[in-house]
Amino acid sequence: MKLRQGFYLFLWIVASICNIPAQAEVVPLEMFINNMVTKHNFDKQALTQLFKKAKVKNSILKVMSRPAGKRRPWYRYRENFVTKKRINGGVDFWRTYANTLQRAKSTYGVPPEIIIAIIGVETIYGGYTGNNRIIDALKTLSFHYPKRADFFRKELEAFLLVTREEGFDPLEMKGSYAGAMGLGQFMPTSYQNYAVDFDGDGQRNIWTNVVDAIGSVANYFKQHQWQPGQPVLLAVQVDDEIAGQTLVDLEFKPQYSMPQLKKMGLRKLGNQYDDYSGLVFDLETEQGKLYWVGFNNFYVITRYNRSTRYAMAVYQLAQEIKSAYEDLH
Amino acid sequence: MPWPFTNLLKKLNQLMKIYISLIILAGLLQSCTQSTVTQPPFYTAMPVEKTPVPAMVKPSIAKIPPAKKQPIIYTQRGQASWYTGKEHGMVTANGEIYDIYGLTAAHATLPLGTKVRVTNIEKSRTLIVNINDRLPSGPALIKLSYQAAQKLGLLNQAHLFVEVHALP
Repeated sequence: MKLRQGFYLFLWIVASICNIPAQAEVVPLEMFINNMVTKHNFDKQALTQLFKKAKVKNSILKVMSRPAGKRRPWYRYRENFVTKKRINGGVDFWRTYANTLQRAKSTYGVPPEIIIAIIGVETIYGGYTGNNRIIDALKTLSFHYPKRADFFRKELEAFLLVTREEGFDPLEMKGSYAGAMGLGQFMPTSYQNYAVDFDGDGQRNIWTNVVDAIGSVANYFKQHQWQPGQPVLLAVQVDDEIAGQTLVDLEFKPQYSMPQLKKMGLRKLGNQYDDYSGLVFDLETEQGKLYWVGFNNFYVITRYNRSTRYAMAVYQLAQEIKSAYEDLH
Repeated sequence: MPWPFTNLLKKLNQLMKIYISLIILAGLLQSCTQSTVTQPPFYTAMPVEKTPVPAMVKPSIAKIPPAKKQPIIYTQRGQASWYTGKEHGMVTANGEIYDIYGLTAAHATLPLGTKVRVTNIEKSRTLIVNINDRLPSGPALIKLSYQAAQKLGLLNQAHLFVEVHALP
């Protein structure tokens, strides 16, 4: 017993000295297939055949390893999403699916404009859902991209399970080069956990069934604790640059109550928001760096894509669509 | 090919504008002096709602609804300005918080909460904004949120001439 403990200690010391990353080794395809067979009762031969038909795409590896490049300021980023095309498309989408959106609102408590804006930002209302075969993308990233192979293998596992469950041919399904699928660009694990059959036809189809896609986005928001009727964000001032920096350097989570934030350097704004918790974030605008407090619902939008810029773009597109839609009715 | 009367026409056009402004001003003055009128003045496009009056009750001055329920009649032309970035996050006159992405504006006299249609005269672009702040006296007729100024296309314009029209 003691010997074994000593051995583990020795291994640990060696590992830490050599700084061997725990899971840098890419798990070979065969191991993955065996695991799917024993864990989920997949047919070994069929699965081997499937992966023979799937291709490793060098183009995807190239995109994934491309250096990030210079980060655009927020106001440039915004120009891509808060556009006339997406606003008008959103109004049309609302008019076409008004009943479904209303039902999604009453079922999940998520307002139509938020659901629409997500689908608008992700795929311009289903116009650009991606032309990569998901099986190719996930095979490539699970077995030839060590940096995030673990993450993508879990997605691949979910993809095989969920296509089997829903009766889709895994070779047919398409999406982004990173494996995001359908109108709302769900990753397979999100599809598995949050997609719903919103029209009751017995299948969760987030690719071509817009009703299912709407219900699925709404359910995603509900499951991530969207609170109907609560504010999303608030423009604020911070006492000085240092306070501003401390506030936004923390990981974005609405973990502080407004009174706490005021103690930390947020200027007092009366007490009408004191019941909410939030966190300060900044964005580079045409008029310089400005600050907002994001509340719970802002945080929920970042659960769709972990970026404050993304969440702000979704929120602003939603507001634009809402006012354009209301002007018409 | 330049036409010899272009300048003359421009002059005429300017004169016409001044003349029309005077007429509007006169109309405004008239409406101000008659604060107890029961119907909106003739030049508003608003249809007058006819509420059925019971036959037994004689309509009298006392039955007129309070004056603030009457539509505000206001159309003015003047200079526009917009908020600076430093004002983002500050409390406005009616207790809201100024956000550069809001569609709001400050005005010297219009009641807070009034919706106005702002027209960028040079580009004929219009936008509806909410008056939620007070404008100290100065050269500007209206101070727009940054987003509103951007939407109206004012940001890179030399002459910031706008029309402000209060909506009922």
